[in-house]
Amino acid sequence: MTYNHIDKQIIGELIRIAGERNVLLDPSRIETFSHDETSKEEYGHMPDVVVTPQSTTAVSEIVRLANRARIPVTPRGAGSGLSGGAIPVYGGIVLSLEKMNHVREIDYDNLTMTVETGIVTNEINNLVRDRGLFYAGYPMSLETCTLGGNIAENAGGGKAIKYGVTSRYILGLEFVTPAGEVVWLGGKLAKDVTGYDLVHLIVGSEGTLGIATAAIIKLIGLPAAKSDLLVLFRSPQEAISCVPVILSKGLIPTAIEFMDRRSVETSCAYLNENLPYAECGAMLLIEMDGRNPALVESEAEAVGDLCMERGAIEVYVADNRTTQERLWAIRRNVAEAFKVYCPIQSLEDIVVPPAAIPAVIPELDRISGQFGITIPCYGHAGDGNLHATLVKDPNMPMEDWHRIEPLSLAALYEAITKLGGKISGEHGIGLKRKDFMKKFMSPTELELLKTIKRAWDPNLIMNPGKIFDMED
Amino acid sequence: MHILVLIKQVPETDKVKMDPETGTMVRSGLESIINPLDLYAIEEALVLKEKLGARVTALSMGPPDAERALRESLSMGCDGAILLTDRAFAGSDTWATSRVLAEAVRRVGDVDLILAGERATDGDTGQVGPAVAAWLDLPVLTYVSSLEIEAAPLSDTTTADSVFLHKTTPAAIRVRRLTEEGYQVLEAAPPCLVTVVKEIASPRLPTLRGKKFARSEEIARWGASDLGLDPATTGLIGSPTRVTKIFYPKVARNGLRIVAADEAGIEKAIDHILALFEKKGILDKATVEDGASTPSSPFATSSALSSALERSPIAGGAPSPDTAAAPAKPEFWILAERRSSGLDIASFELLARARALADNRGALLAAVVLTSALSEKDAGALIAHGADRVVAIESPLLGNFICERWVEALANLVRARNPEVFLAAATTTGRTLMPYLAAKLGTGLTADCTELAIEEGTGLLLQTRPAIGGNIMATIKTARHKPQMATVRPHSMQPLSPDPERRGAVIRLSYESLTKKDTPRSPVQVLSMESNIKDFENLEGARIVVSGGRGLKKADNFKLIRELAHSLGAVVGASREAVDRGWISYSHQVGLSGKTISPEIYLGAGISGAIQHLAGIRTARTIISINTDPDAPIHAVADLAIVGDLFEILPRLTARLRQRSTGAAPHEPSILSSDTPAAAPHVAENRADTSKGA
Ligand SMILES: Cc1cc2nc3c(=O)[nH]c(=O)nc-3n(C[C@H](O)[C@H](O)[C@H](O)COP(=O)(O)OP(=O)(O)OC[C@H]3O[C@@H](n4cnc5c(N)ncnc54)[C@H](O)[C@@H]3O)c2cc1C
Ligand SMILES: Cc1cc2nc3c(=O)[nH]c(=O)nc-3n(C[C@H](O)[C@H](O)[C@H](O)COP(=O)(O)OP(=O)(O)OC[C@H]3O[C@@H](n4cnc5c(N)ncnc54)[C@H](O)[C@@H]3O)c2cc1C
Repeated sequence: MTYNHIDKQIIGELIRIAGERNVLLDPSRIETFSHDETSKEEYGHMPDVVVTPQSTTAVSEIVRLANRARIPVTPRGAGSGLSGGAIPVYGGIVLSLEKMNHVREIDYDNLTMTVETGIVTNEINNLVRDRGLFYAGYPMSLETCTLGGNIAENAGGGKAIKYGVTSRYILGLEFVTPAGEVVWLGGKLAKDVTGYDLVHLIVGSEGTLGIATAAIIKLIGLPAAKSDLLVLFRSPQEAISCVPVILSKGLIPTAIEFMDRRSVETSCAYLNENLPYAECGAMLLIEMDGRNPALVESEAEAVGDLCMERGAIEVYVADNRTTQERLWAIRRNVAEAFKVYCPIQSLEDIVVPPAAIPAVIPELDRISGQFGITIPCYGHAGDGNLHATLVKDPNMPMEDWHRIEPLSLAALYEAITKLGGKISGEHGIGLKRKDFMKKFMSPTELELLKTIKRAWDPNLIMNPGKIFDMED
Repeated sequence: MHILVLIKQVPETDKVKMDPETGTMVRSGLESIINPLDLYAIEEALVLKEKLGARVTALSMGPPDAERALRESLSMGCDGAILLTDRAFAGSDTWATSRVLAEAVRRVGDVDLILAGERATDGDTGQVGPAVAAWLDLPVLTYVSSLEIEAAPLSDTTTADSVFLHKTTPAAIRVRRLTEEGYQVLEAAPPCLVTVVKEIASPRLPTLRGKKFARSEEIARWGASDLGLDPATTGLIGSPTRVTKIFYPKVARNGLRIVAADEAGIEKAIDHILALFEKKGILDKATVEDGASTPSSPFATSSALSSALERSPIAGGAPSPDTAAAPAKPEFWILAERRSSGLDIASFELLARARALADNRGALLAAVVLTSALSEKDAGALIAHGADRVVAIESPLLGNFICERWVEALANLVRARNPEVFLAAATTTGRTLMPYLAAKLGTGLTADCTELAIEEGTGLLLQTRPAIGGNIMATIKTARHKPQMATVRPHSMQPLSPDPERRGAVIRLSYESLTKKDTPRSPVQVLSMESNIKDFENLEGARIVVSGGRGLKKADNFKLIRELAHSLGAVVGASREAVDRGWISYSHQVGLSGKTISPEIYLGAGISGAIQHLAGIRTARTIISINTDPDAPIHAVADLAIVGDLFEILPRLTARLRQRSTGAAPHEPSILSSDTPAAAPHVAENRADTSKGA
């Protein structure tokens, strides 16, 4: 793929459209736009210019200009992505939506909010909490990501079993096409089959089809009570076998988080948490929420009973924030604990049918043995979405790691594909995983994706080099 | 064995957010929880139960809704729970609260051990534990970090009692107490009351089984009449102290902010830190060593001060006490404390404060010391620093702090002389002794005051203290009771320059003459003092504290903090995150559940500045923060806020300090080489004449 360079004249036009202070050229200032939360050394690439427009009109004019001049445009939210989606692999323009963060309307009658996509996701919840409402589509990174990034990745949070992922809460989009046209899709509608569901095609398209500048999102009632259970099991099999039993009883936890033995040990050691985990082969962290504290408590107890019946070693209960914090700290600190062990890692988000989780664990053991790396496994058991993380041995030379990382990823993806799984459940393909698409997606499906891309973006200016390469 | 655990339900402070501009607390969404320090007491009780067999009962005074806290204690493993609740109890201060709790303990009857958290995170006084012990005439052991019970042999009658699991009868209780100077190892005969610090145990989580048990268990509710208390003497009406004013301290300091994002920024940040050290006279230490000049600082470490006082000549001769004649002027007293190295610097600070108050009130100021023997030099130093009179209660039995014994002597003396005001430093001794004494005397006590004043007109003592983690300030009065008692935060004031011309009487009293006991036998024995422990430092007394938090990422990296501290002669502090992760021991923890400090300089690196942490450093004179996050709350309270990476800044800062010191003293690789800086001359000149009396 070749694109045109950015010259003085283009810069001049960008300044005219967005204003001087919204056009950044100084390399020291645009350096942070060269990477996201993936390894900067491995995937980083500098943009030529960063633009931070403040209106949809400006976004549209920038995209129109880029389309005319054949300059790649990479939309960017907060850069918290874990697949390299916001990295300008072909240079060009990074279009950062950080200044498009205004709330246009909160509609308490329809329970919707119309908001620009550069808003930090957590802000949405801060705005409506006092009214007893919340936006349930948020991911765990809610304080450091934007709604736009969530839409582009179809992010999923820790509460997806009960509340679903981002897509469920996106009712409408204000969208700038790669040609620079502005269009409203969807609306404040609970149902809408008027034509193809373009809103949900855009959700999860990783910024390759255009730029979402504003969205109508759905708000729901904020549950007042919650109760958490930390359940210790002897084996991953025992732990996972509880999940369908719980769900089939009509008990709907907001989260069922899984941690394998290695994750538990490392995180507890890091936190100096003295839970009696010696015999424990896996843990589930289960959260129930609802309006009525007594009801939540009794449902949590029912879940705990089911786990005990199925061989749990112990069930701990937390129904105040302090103890809840203590439980969640174990789950939340897994990644950080392994970073202390070795910061060189590949954070994955494979997804398998929930019942296949126990079968994943021996595969991880096999792969880590084969390549001399550590692969802790933790994540959202309720939806089969696991953060199997490849962690370099601290003593392994970097050359070896660079050689081994793609090989072990291929082995991992191979194994989960056999189990009916896919390579990404919530972080997206982006730059990081695109090479594996050919191998693990059927040619027909891949061709459909490319056909859509070509139709939407014939000049291929919109976030090129992501999900798949057109030339392949 | 029957163990009683005193627990309190408190609003969780975790989520307390302060509005940095108005300084008001954002109260929305506060939950009630068991006072976190009480969890350690519960855990210790449960550990003892598992080891030795015991029945554990949780006891709480509070509103009906405090039942939740008791249920939680049951679900952790306590066997029973009692709630003391009555409208008449509302508004109780620590004195009134401890009275109700003590009556309840009496009603429970057979108790071998009472455990409590060292303090509650809301009121933050630490007074209830010792005061309960005082009401019950039990020995009290505070700040306990480990506990062992020696069991008496089983007797036939107790084994049959399976319900109450009275399997063991404790013969002796051995504890380690965390003090400023190290760990004091004590042994006490049961029953006694023990207040614990975090180090003692790591609390277990409630289990599902426990939860079910907790739900089915009946919780006894006792009111004033059940305890035989007259409602007219409880609660607010029965409380000697009154809060007269609540205000919010200004939180934000709006200091200088430097962004150390690049090379130039880092250099600039380091330059500013060094300049600040220089301004504070910290870097002069290197020159002191050379004897080239004298330190510009008015401070001296306690060891330096006392070594200087060693050399100060004073005249001797103590007049005999005249306890019969009532003094013409009102008396203000302070408790002066001796450390192994000499008088505690905090006692001199206290004298400075009390001097001003006494002058305002036209009162006579006495320093009371309990010790094996008070040297003339020490007595002279107290006078030179502002005391009109030194009262030394001397006995070989008083060499170590044993609360009940000290109180026995003091209570009689107070009753005899009837001082108007009695102050002690809020040290581990002051915070144990004073509540015990106040309960015995039937008067109020205000903890950890940072400001004291005399009210115009009434002449009453206005006692101002931080509460709720330093987020509010409360002014408290003890209007109807004497003496008006308070503990005062150490290092919240500087000592006076000693005046060699000052005169005062030294009155020496024997313990025996005060207690009228021939063979005083305390149930508490001091076994040893572990003062040379690795990794133990006296944070409270430190002039400079360098602290690290979770931003250090791992235990190894803590050496960056240690090295910097070393090159500054500073003491190492830590956030709870760092302590919880085992990177450094608990004695270094700064904050709500650790230590409250007022150093000249506090440098925090990789610490976010959660309110519980800030609670410990509010009265630090200068705060320097190093944190990558521009929005970290610690930056808002810092005088010098460095937005930058500690891994880049700390090593370079340490290197620069070392460079300077080698520059100043070429033979010494570190400016720290001398731990005992030369004495300040103004202290060395100190002189007092005590022969003439007051
Ligand atoms: C600690 C941590 C925890 C995380 N937890 C989760 C989790 O629980 N669940 C989860 O799903 N993810 C998680 N993530 C990943 C990441 O936060 C999400 O993918 C998030 O949605 C990215 O948002 P962002 O604003 O940072 O997007 P960026 O990283 O800036 O961009 C991501 C992609 O979105 C595109 N994009 C951004 N804005 C727009 C727009 N307005 N229009 C079109 N395209 C746009 C970019 O081009 C890019 O392809 C986590 C990341 C971290 C670091
Ligand atoms: C009842 C109760 C009592 C408590 N008592 C205390 C107490 O006594 N003392 C106490 O400290 N806490 C106490 N806490 C805990 C408190 O709430 C916080 O959790 C704790 O203070 C946080 O510690 P931290 O600042 O080290 O960690 P964090 O809050 O995780 O902060 C780490 C900081 O390091 C920064 N950082 C990361 N990397 C770098 C880098 N390379 N360079 C510079 N900065 C970096 C980050 O930006 C972050 O701000 C208590 C909590 C409760 C509920």
